[in-house]
Amino acid sequence: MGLIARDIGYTYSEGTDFEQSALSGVSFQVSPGELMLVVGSTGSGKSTLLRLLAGLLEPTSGALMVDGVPLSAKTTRGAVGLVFQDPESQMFAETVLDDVCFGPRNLGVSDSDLHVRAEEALSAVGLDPDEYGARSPFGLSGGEARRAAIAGVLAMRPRYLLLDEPTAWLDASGRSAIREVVRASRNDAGVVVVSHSAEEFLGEADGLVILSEGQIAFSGTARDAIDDPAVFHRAGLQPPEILAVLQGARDRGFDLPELTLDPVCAAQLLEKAGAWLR
Amino acid sequence: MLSYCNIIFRYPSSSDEAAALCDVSFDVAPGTRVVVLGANGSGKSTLARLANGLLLPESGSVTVDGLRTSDENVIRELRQRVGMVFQRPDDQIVATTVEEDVAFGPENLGIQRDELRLRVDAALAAVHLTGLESREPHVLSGGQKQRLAIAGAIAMHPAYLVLDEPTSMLDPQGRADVLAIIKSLTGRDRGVLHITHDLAEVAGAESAIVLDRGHVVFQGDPLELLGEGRLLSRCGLELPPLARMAIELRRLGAPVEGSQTVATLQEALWG
Amino acid sequence: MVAMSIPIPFGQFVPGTSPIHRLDARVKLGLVVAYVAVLFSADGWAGLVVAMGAALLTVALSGVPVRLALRGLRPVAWLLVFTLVANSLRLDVSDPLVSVGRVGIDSEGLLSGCYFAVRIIALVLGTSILTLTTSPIALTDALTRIMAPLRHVRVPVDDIAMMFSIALRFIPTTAEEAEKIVVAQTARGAVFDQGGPVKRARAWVPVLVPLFVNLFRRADDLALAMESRCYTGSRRTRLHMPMMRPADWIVLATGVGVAVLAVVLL
Repeated sequence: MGLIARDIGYTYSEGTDFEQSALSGVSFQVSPGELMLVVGSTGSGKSTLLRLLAGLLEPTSGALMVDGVPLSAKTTRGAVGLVFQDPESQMFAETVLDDVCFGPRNLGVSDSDLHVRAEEALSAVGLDPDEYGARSPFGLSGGEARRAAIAGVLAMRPRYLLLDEPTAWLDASGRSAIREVVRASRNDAGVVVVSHSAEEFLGEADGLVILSEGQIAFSGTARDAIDDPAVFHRAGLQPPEILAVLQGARDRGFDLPELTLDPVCAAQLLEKAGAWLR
Repeated sequence: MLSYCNIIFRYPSSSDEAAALCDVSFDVAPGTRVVVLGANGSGKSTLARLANGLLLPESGSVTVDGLRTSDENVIRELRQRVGMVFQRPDDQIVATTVEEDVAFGPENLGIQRDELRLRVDAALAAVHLTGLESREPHVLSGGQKQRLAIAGAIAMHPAYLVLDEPTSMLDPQGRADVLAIIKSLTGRDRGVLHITHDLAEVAGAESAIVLDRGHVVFQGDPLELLGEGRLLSRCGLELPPLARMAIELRRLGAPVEGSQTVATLQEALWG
Repeated sequence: MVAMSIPIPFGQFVPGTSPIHRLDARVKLGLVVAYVAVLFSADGWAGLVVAMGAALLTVALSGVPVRLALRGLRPVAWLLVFTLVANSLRLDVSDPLVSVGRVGIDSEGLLSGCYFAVRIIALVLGTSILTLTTSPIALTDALTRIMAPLRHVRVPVDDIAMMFSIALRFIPTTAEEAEKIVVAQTARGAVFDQGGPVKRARAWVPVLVPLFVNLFRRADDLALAMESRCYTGSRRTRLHMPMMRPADWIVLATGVGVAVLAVVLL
C-alpha cells in the first residue's frame, strides 16, 4: 500500500533544443495515514513533482504506483487529489456546494451521492454545510475560501492528498484552520504537503524530503531532520528558526542530544544545557 | 507628518452596521517605520487606502504634511508625497518593461526626460534591480516584482511610503529581500507605514499598532507588544515560534531582551 | 494529459539589432503602406517584381530567418490555393492544360492565377516583416504618435495607447493564469477534449469564470495602483520618446519615392 515514486524524472521538451531537466532520480513513498513534507526553494522541482504525482504529467523516466497499480489518468483516476496553491482562485460555481460537487461529478458519482459527499467534505474542513453550502464562493473570507476549495478535492475521496503551500497568504486564524484540516485528512488518506519552508509542518510530518535543483537533497524521517538541522543548510535552505538557534548552541559546544520544535521545550533544553551565564 | 486623526470609516455597500475603522488616530513621523498589525478583516487595508485619498473617511481627517486627503485641489501633490505599494505583485505593474514601469509615476508628474532617467536608475539601484531595465515584468519572480513596485513608488520621491502587506504573497527568499529593502528605505526623512499580519516583520520598527475589527487595541513599543501574548491571539495574530521561545527564555532568567531574529537571540545568549 | 502551455497569440516579434529593427516604427509603418499601395496599383508583373524584390531585400537585411518570414503564409494557405484555382479557371478554353467538361485551365489562365497568388504572398511577407522586427509596444507607440493630431478633435489618443499597452502587459500574465486554472480543473477531473461542440464549450466554463473574476479583480487593483501613481491620462512625459534620426528620414523618403515611381511608371 502506498503512493510510491521509484526513481522518477521529468524533462521538459525532451528531444528538442529547449530540453530542460526539471526532476531526476526522485524516489519516495507515502502510506495511508502518513504526512510527508516536501520542501524546496522556488525552481527546485516541487511543482513538477506535484504534477507527476497527480498524474497531470507522465514521468519521462521511472515509475509511479498507487496501491500497487501504475498511476495513469485512466486506471487510477481520482485516487490522488491535488490542492493547488491559491485554490480559491479556481472556484467558479454559484454556490459553495455546487463547486464542491464539481470534482466528484466529473468522476461520475451519482446525483444522490453527490450531496452526501459534498456535505461530508464541507464538514471535514470545518464549514457547516447548512450555513456555507448555499453561499457564493466569492463572498468567503480567505481562510473559508481556502477550506471550501480543499473540500472540493476531499469530496473526490482521494486515497492520497497532495497540498501545494496550503497555508500561503492566510492570516494566523486561517493558517491554524488549515493545519487542522491537514491533520484530520490523515485519518482517510496519505498526505503530501509541499512548501517553501519546513517552518509550518515539520512538527507534524512523519517524513521529510528536501528537493534541490530537481534532485533529492535529503530524505528521511522528520525526527532525523529535527535532530540534525544541518541537513537544511546542506540543501541550501534555512531550517526552522528554533532549530537554527539550538543548532547554534550545539556549534558552541553545548550538549543537546535531542532537539525540538516546541518553543517552550526548546527554551528549557537551552536552560538544562547551561547555554547562558546566570 | 502623515496623520490619521479620529478616523471613522464605513463601506457604503457593507451589510453590517459596524464601521470598518472606528476612531483611529496615529502619526507616522519622517524617519520612522510604523507597523500596523491585524488579522484579515481588521480594517488594515482600508487604513492604507485612506493614506492617499483613494478612500475618504466618514469623519475625522487624514493629512500629509498638512495637506488634507479630502481636498481635491491638493490630491495630486499629496499622492506624489505618499508612495503606495500593494499586496499583489502582479496587479500594480503597468508598463511592459521594468524601466518604463518605474518611470510611470514620474511621467505622470511631467518630469523631463533627463531627470526621468536619473530617477529610474536611482530607484532600480535602491531595490537592487539594476541590470533588469529592459526585462518584461512577467518574467520576474514575485519578490522582484514587489521590489519593482517599490521602485515605482520611490521614483516619485515620496516623503512617505505606505506598504499594504507587501510580503504576504512571496516565498521566504522574496520576503527576506523585500523586508531588507523596506528597512533600508526607512530613515533619511522618509516615513514608512507598513501593514502586515506577520508579527516577525515588527522587528526593528519604531512603533507598532494592532487593529482588531476596526479598533486600535495596542499602540506603542514593538518589544512590549511581543509580550502581549493574550492580546495578540485575541486579535487573530500569532507569535512566531522564535518570539515564543524568547519569552520562555526570559522567564527562565536568560539575558534576552525581546530579541527577535536567530542571530540577535544567539548573540544575547552566548554572543 | 493536458497541454502545458497556451500559445500567446502574437509571439511573433524576433528581437534583433539589424538596420530594419532599428528603423523607427513610424517609418516602417509608412513603408508598409507604400508597399501595399504599389502591390495594388501596379497592374502587371513588373510592379509585383519590384515589390517582391524590395520585400526580399528587407528580409535579408533584417536577419530574420526566411522560414519565420514565410510562416505567416500558413493561415492563408487555403486562400492561396483558392485564389490560384479560381483565377486560373476558364470556360471553353481552346488549348487546355487540364479540363473537366467545359471548364479548363490554359497557360494564360494559370499565369493570371499565379499573379494573384504571388500578390497575396507579397502582401503577407511585407506585413510579416513589420511585426517580426517591431515589438508590439513599439508599434503601439508608433500608432499613437501618428494619431496624435486626432487629439485636437477630442479623440482620447493617450488613453487608447495606455489601454493597448496594459493589454500587452497582461497578456502573458493572463495566459499563465489560464494554464494554471486548466491544470487545476483537470486535477478535479475536468475533461476538455471529449464530446460534441456544446459539451466541449461547456467544459470551459470552470476555466473562464475564475479567469474573468480574477481579471476584474486585477482591473480594480490596477486602477487603484495607477491612481496612486498620479495617472490622469494627460500631460505625461515619456522616458522613451524615439526621435526620427536623419537615417530614418532618408529611408522613408527613398522608400516612398521608389513606391511613387513604381505606381506612376509601371
